[in-house]
Amino acid sequence: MRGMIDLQKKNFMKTPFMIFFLLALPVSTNYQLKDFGIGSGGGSGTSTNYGMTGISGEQSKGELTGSNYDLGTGMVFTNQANVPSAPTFTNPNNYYNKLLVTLVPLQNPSDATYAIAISSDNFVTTTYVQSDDTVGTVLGIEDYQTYTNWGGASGTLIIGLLPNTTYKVKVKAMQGAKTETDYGPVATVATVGAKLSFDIDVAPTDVDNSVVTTNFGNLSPGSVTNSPDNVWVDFDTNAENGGRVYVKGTNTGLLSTRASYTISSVSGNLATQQEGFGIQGVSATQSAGGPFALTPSYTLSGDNVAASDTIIREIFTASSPVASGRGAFFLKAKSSAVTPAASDYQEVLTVITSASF
Amino acid sequence: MSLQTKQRIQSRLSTLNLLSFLFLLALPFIFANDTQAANLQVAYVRLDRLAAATTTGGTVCAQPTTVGTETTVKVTFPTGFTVNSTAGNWTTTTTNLPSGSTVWPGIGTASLVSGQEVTFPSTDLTVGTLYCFNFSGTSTLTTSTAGNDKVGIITLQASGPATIDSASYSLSIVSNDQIIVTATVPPTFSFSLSANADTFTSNLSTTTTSTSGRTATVATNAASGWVAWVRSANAGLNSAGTGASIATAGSLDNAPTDLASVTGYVLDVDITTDSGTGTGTVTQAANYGAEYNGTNATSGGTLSSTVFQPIAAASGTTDGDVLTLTERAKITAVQAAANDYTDTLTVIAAGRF
Repeated sequence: MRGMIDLQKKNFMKTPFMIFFLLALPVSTNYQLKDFGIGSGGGSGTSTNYGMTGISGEQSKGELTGSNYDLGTGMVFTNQANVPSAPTFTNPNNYYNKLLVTLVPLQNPSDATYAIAISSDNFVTTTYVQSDDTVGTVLGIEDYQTYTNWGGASGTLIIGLLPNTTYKVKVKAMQGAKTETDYGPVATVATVGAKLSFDIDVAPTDVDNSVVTTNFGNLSPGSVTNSPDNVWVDFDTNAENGGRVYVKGTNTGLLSTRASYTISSVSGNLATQQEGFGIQGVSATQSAGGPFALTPSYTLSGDNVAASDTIIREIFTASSPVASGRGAFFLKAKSSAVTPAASDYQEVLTVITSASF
Repeated sequence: MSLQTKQRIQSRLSTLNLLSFLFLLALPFIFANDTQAANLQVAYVRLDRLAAATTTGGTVCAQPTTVGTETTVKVTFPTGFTVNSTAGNWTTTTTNLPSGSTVWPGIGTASLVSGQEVTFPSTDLTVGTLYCFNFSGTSTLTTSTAGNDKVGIITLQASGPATIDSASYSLSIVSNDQIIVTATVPPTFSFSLSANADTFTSNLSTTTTSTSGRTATVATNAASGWVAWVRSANAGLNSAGTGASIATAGSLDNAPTDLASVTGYVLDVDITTDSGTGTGTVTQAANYGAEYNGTNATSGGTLSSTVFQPIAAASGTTDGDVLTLTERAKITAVQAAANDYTDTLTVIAAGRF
């Protein structure tokens, strides 16, 4: 029997009884009806407060599922929004804590709203993308957003995810009351691990090597001498908040053990100082992200230098992920007429890094 | 079923439905208070040393995301790092923290070490504030072999412990994280005499007569300073024409000879300039010029014709120390007259590098 009737009953929720009938599936020697219901059933009632539109005699919710296609039968499916296709789910920038999801609205009207379910265990446990793009355990009505609010064709980044984890998402749609669909197909992608690469090279030009020494040679009294080599650093990270490269001295200058004397580390213009030792930044570049930049203290020219004392000081910095960051700095020194002669002047610079995840 | 029974059932169902409806309405509020552990807003560990297999301390920083009452912070170091299992070694400080960070409240010596995990005490943290602390590098942590992407975890915990927030961090360990910078300051030394002739200002007599004096200037970057010496060609003033001689007075005994009481020929060396630039101080100490440290207009040191005698020394570098050398003589009434009395002094100096 097919037909739509308008029921006006005070006690419209007969669902507990319906469940009883749904569990009693009919059987056949040739066919099996996977699921069925009697829809809104019969009965009558009147009320000035509530009304209910039901369809009598058809399946209340089709569950005719196959390996490739599902069949939605009856008026319920006619009223529902279109089930969204599998979203585009990617990790475009080696993210360790977020992933990009772009909905496929599948001809739903622009005011259709969508909810995104996400799981890291193949939906044994299901969580939901919240309206603030985080992941939460509860799907609130505010978490149904339009295609536009989910970022449109650009998508939206789901944040707060775990590194090295495979995530699956699926989307359902709704356009007004009683129109919510089932979830559409699943899309899968993984976050990567937290990454940090770092390397130090010492060379006059930009090359990779394993050299960790540089020798000024003779420091002529009264003249500012440049180190013959630059110190180059590689910095690459997917850390959300970028990272920093630091430099720290050991002797607060060039120390001669034999002469018991230190050409002190200074900040300022060596040209106007009797003697001194310091660092001047050269360059900082990256292929993407960042920017990877010299800190202002080391962005210097001429004979201006920044101190390299025993405090860990930031020399390069980035506030977002950096790909193929490359930085360089070099050293300047000046001796005076009374700087004790010695061939063992030495400073040991420790160059370290950290990434802010 | 009677109509009365139906009405009773319908009434009960109505109550049940109302309760169910109210429960459904309340669901969002019930779950709205449900908190979930989240990623830290910022998390990093900065080691003091990144060289492989090297003991190191470090700095731990974290910025909470979730409201909770923290009681501990657990730092999980990457696999391959050697974590000292004595919790008492893991002392902490809060000086020289990274810029923009706040001292981690309640931080102290670790309370627990388990495998790669070190747990430090903490008190409640404020969401959105970056907190940091340093841990000691003495008998705590040894880095792993070289490599990138050494992943660890920082976890903020409430009592239980229950995770409030956590985040992975990554370290890069390199074969060598230190640059050795070397330099040479070449030795410098200069020495000069103001002139090569120094004539007595008047004829020699039975009272002490002196030359006008000549200066010797020394500049050097020798770390240990310099020494100046003098040697007399004749150990006296000789007259070639008469064959007469005025012998040097006194003896080499680290004390000048005063011609007020004897006759003879001596050399007085005064320190005219002890440069304030440099590390050295000029002195005439015993065996380093005390012999020539005349303190009046009639005193001076005995001259040797065989051995260079120190006349002064400096202890460090200088850009120009100046000595003044003055010869003095006093003759007897029977000293042979001549106008060619002469001596040649050889003055030398050397830096003590």
